[in-house]
Amino acid sequence: MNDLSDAEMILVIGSNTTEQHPLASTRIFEALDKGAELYVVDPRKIRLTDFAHGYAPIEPGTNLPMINAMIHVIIEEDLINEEFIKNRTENYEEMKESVKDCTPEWAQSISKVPADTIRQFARKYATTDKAMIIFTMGVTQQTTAVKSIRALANLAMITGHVGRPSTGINPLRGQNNVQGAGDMGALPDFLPGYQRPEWPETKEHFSKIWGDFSCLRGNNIIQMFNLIDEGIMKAAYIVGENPVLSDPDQTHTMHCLEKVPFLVVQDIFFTETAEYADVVLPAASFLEREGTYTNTDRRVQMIHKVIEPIGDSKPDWEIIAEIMKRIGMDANYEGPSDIMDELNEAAEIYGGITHDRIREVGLQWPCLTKEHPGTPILHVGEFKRGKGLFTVNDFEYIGDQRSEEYPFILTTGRVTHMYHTGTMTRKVWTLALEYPEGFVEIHTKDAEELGIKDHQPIRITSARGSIVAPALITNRINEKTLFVPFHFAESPANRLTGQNLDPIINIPALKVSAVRIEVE
Amino acid sequence: MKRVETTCGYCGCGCGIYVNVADDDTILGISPSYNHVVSKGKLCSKGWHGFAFVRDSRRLTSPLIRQSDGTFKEASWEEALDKVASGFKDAMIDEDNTDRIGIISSARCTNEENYLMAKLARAGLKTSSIDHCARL
Repeated sequence: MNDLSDAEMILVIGSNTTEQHPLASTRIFEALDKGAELYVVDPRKIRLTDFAHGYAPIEPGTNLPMINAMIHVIIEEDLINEEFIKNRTENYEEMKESVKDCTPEWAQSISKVPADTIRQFARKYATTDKAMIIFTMGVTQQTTAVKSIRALANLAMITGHVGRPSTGINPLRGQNNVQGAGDMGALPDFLPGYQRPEWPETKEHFSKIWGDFSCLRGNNIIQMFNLIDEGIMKAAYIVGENPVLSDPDQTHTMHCLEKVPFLVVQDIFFTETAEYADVVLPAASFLEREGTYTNTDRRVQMIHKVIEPIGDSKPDWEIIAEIMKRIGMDANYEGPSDIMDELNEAAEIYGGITHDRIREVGLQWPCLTKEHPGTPILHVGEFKRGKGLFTVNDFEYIGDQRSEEYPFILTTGRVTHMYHTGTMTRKVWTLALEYPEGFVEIHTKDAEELGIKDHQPIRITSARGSIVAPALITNRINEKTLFVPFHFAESPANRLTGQNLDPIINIPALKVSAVRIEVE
Repeated sequence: MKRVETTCGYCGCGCGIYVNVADDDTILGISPSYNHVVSKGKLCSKGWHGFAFVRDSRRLTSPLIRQSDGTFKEASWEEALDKVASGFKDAMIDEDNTDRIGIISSARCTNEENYLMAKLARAGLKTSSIDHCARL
């Protein structure tokens, strides 16, 4: 993250950085103070656009054509980094062939970003030495998530903007420990330390530590709910999550939670999801326990116990260990540092990270041994796989589109004072005061056409469901586009979103839902 | 008063905070950590204010078990954990390697807790269906 402040050009695509990663955005402003230029791709004129040198008001769900067109321009105008392509990558010719028809004019017809803006972005990115790409869910929560990220990788590699300070493509991770949860193998397709279940050495390695275990590729959240619906999955254990508000297609989510024969919910509050539980277990908050979080920089940092757990609540690790013991597992951990010691052995990238080493300052993984200093930048000198692989990412749109019945595109997201499903932040009065309720952003022109006044409740309906929220009339959003934050249970944005998924990683296209509006 | 250094529990920036606590364990407020590598003495609104939910009267303070009439009743940890274990064991009965239990872990939990969830899922409940909110 500190690298950001030394960048000379920052391309922010699908990240409302000042609101969602406020401290990362301070680095952008530091860079701007030093003369860097800022370019923003977003369907909303987010705060950063006030400071930007270029702004692309993109149609939700169409990042991929714009990125491919930038690559097209860079190749056509011979702004590529030939040496980098030759020495560090492979498959360039095939990728080049795949973007030969991706002209800026073609991209404009889909993404609505003016062709000249695309050229401006491409030239600036290619001709700046330290050019960095920042992205978040505005890129990933679409049906073209994986292709778009691979296209960003192509863009970074043709220009050699990889593996040096203040370059690269940098996803800012949303929640405090979303990086760590993935690192730890809370994913269906990885074991701790990103070891694939299908690798033969994975089975061997974990058998030594865990004994017999399920070493398959499992189902992700979306698939799990579908398997519950089909009657195949018989129980669910939900810890610190509130899918009723956070998952797509709320009606479907509630139906599945109603249907699952045995549901355990573990949380600090009685959430909307807890309503469906058979057993609710009270967890301690982050101020009532020890352990580590891994931030978006892969930096593993300590959290310390400040007060005793409230009431009869317990830290999650104690509850999980108790369940492990009751189903016959060995789980005699004295505390989180014992678990970290076991993790050192299980996951090589965390091999040298101990609580004692990070008491003062965190360490960035990969950190292989107790002497290893950690790794601030990945892919220096060589990519993990050896040569960087150029990929072909043709744009084929799947998912919701505007129609006569649903003429608006709804995009969802967050506001700065709120967090995820609002379970914590809505109970903090100083924060709740800033956003006491949900809202729907609508462009001034659309509001005038429909006779909508500011703060007037309007009904938004998609093929999945319908909500009512007060209108927030603004010029800071594309026309025929709406924005609703998903924090608020009374106007749950995810009642409108659907199950259009990226075919590879199954991320739902929460940023693109076709809707209509009616005045209440 | 004591000051405990810790890491903010909100976004992925991972800012350094001090929590100021009175002798009776009342949380008085947050101060930024001036030499923290990420936050360098700055915090956002959630960082400064976001701790107040911790002592909210609506916190869950006891395990709850659903009764046959649909209402929840407070239970002891022993009772609740036994019910959880037997519920999971009942769901697991299976010969064909099909995942019968879905595990949703949390980006709000620590690394240590997520590691235990992965181990519980794969080694204990014999399910590879574990995920968290990374997609959401």
